[in-house]
Amino acid sequence: MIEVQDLVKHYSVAKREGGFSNSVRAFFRRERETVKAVEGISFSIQPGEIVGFLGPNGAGKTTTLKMLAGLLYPTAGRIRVAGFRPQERKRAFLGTIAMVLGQKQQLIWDLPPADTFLLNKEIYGVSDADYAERIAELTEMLDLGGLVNRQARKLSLGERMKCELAAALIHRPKVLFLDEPTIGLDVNMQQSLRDFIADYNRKTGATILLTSHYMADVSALCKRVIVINRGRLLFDGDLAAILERMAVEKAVKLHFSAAVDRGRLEAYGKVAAADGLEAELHVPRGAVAALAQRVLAELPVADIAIEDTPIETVIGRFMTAGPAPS
Amino acid sequence: MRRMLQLVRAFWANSLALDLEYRIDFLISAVTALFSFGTGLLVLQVMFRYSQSLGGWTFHQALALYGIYLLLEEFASGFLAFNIGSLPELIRRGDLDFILLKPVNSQLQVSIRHFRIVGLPAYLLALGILGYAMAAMGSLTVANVLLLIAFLACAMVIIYAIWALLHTLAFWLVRIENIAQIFYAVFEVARFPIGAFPGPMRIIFTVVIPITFMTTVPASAAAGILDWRLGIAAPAIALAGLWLSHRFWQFALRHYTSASS
Amino acid sequence: MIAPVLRYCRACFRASFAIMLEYRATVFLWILAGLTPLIMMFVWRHLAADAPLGGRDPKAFSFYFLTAFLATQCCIAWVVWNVDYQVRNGTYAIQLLRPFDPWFAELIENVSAYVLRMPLNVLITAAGLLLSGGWELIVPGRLPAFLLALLLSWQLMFNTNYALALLCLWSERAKSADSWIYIMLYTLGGALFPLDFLSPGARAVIAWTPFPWMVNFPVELLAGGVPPFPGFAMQAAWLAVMVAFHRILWARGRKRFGAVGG
Repeated sequence: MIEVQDLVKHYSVAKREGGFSNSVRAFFRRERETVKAVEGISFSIQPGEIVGFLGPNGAGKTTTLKMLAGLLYPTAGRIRVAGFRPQERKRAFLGTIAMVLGQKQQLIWDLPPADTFLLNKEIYGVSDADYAERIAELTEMLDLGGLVNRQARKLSLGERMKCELAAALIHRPKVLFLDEPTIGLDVNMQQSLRDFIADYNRKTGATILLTSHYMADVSALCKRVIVINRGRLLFDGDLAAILERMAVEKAVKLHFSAAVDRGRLEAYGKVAAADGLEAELHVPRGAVAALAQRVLAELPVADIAIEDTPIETVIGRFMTAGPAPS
Repeated sequence: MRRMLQLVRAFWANSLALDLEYRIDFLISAVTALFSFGTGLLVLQVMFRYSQSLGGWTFHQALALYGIYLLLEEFASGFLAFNIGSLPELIRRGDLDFILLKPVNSQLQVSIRHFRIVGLPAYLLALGILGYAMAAMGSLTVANVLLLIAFLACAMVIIYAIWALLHTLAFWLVRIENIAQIFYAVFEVARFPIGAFPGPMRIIFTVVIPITFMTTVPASAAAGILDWRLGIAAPAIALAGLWLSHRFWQFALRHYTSASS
Repeated sequence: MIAPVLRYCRACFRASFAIMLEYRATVFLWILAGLTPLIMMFVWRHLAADAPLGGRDPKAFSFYFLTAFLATQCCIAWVVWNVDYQVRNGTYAIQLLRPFDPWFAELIENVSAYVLRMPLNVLITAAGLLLSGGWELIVPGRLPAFLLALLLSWQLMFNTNYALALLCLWSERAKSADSWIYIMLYTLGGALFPLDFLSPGARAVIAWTPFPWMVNFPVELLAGGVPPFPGFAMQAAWLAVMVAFHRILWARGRKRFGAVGG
C-alpha cells in the first residue's frame, strides 16, 4: 500500500543569529542554510497495517508523513501510496487518503462541525446516501451525539479532535496518516480515540500510519513500528522485538511495613532506589514472577507493583545504542 | 462545471453563515463605501471646476469610470483580500495543509473560499454610480451593457491574476501580508482615465502594468467610446494572466515547506 | 525616574529596529501605499500642461504634491493594527502588566520605522523637487518652521492613531475607523488637490478638523503662503485633545482589563 525508497527531503531556511548587530548584518545579506529533514529512508507497508512512526522531535516524522500525503515535494527518492506518486497530487490520490494533524484543525472555528462535514462532503463528492450512512456510523463509533451542532470553538479539545477525525473520514479513505492524534488529551479521551482507531481499522481495512508522543498509543495500536532519528531509519520491525531487545527489565516497586536496609535488598536484584520503607528493583523480565514470590515471602512487604519500563526510555536507550542490525 | 457550482455554493453557504453573525459590519461597509465615494466625487468636481476635460473625458464619463473603480476596489479589498489574499496567513499557520489534502484544485479552493456579503452596500453603490453616469451620458444601451459586463469580467480576471502572482510569493517569503499594498498603490492610477496621464506613463500602464484594462477599457465600453484594439487585447491579457498564475502556483507548490516539520 | 525610562526606550528601540529590519519589505510597502499624492501630481500637472490651473503651473503642482507626499509619510502609524492584533491573540494583557505605559513601546516602534523609511522619502521628494524645478518655490527661511510643523503632524497623527487603538480594547470594529481617518487625511488634508481649490465656505469648515493642519499647513508654510502662528496653535491644540483622549481611555482600559486579566 505504501512504498518508500531512499526518500530525501532537504530545504533551505534563512539563518540569523540573535542580537542587534546580526540583524543589521542580515539586512544586507541573508545567509541560508540547508535543513536535512529526511536523509534516505525506505520502508513498505501492507494494506490494512497499523504502523507506528517513532522518533524524537525533529526526527523527520511529520516531514515524511507530509511527503506521503502529497503536501511536500520530495527532494529525491521514490514514493508510492495506493499506487500513486503523491507529489503528482492527482485527484484520485487525494480522494484515497486522509491526514489528521493533532496540532492543527480543519474545523471552521466559528461554525458547528456539521458545517465542516457538509463542506467536505461536497469537496470529496460524497453522495447523500453514503454521507448519511457514514455520519451515522461515525457518530456512533465516536460518540459524537450533540457535539456536531455546537460551534467548534465551544468544544473541548478532546471533543474537537473527535470531530476532526470524523471530518477526515467522511470520504472513507483507504490510507490514513495520523500525526499526534492524541496530543494534549486526557487519559480517558486518549483511550477512546485509540479504541476508535483500532475499530476503524478493523471495520474498513484502512492502512494507518501514526506518530505519537504517547507510547501507550503505539503499544495499544501498532504491532509494527518504524523508528527514525535525524532523518535516518533506525529500526523497522515488531514492537515486541524492540521491547525484547531493549526492555529486558521490569521495575518492581515495593512498600514495606518496616524499614528494610539497602544491603539486604542487593541480594534480590539491581536496586534502583531504596529509602527504608520504599524501594525499586530492576529485574530481568523472565525472573519477575519468581522474584515477586521470594520478596513477598521473605520481606515485610505492604504493597507491590510491577511495571514495564516506559517505552520512552526504551526508545531513548535505542537511540543512544545506535542502529542495530535488524 | 456543475460540480464547481456545487463547491462554490458549499463554500459560500459557510461564509454567509459567518457574515450574518456580525450584522454591524454591513453598516461599517456602507459608511466606508460612502466615504470613499464622497472623496472621489469631490476630487472629480474640483478637477472639472478648473478644467473642461480629464484626458479627453467628460465629467460623466469620468464618473462612470470612477464607479467601475469603486466596484473593482471592493472586489479586491472585499473578495480577493479574504481569499487569495489570505494565502500568507494560511501558509504561516499551516492551514494550507488541509486545503492541499483535498481533491480539488488548491488554487481554486484558496481563491473562492469566502464571499463576503457585507460588501454588498459597496457593490450596490458602485453600480448605482455607474448606472447613473451611463444614463446621464445617454449610453445605457443593451449592447453597451453587455460589452461593459464582458470587459468588467476581463478586468476582474486581470486583477485576480496580479493578486495571485503576488501572493504566491508567500511560498518563499512568509511575511508578506502587506504585499497587496503594491497592488493598491498602482491601482490608485485606475481612478482616472489613462489619458489623464502624460504619454510615457500611459504606455507603461498599458503595456507593462495593465492598468488601462482595469477601468479605462470597461468605462469606455460603458460610454460607447471603446478603442477596438484595446478591446481585443483585454481578453487575451486576462487569459494569459490566468494561465501564468496557474503555472506559478504549480511551481510554488514544489517549494512548500509547511509550517512545522 | 528618567533613567529607567530611557533604558527601557533603548531596549525597545533595539528590539523593534531589529524587527523592522527583518520585515523591511513591509516598511517600504508603506511608501508604495502612500504614493497617491504623487499620482495626483501627474494628473494635475497634465491638466495644467497648456495653461496654469487655479494660478498653478506644473512646477507649482510638483512642489505642492511632493511636499504633501512627505507630510503624509510623516503621518503613517500602525498602532491600531498592532493593538488589534494583540487583543485578538490575547497578548495585550502583557502590556497592561508592564510598569511602563505601552505608549513608549509603540512610539519607539514608530520611530524605528521612520529611521528606515525617511531617508528614502526625503530622497524621493528632493529628487522630484530638483527634476521638476519645484524647489524654486521653497522659501529657505521657512525650512526650520516646516520641519517643526512636520514633527507636530507626526505626533498628532500618531496620537490620534493611538487613541483609536485603545478604542479597539472595547470593540474591534473601531479598527475600521482607521481607514476613514486616512481617507480624510488625504482628502481634507489636501493630498489629492490643493485645498485652495475648494470654495471658501468649504475651507472654513474643514479648518476646524485636524486634517488640513497635518498636510496642507506644512506645505503652504514652506512656500511662504501662510503665517506660522495659527497653524502651530491648531496643531498643538489638536495634539492636546488627542493625548487627553487616549490618557482617559488608557486609565479606563487599565481598570477594566486589569481586573479581568489579574
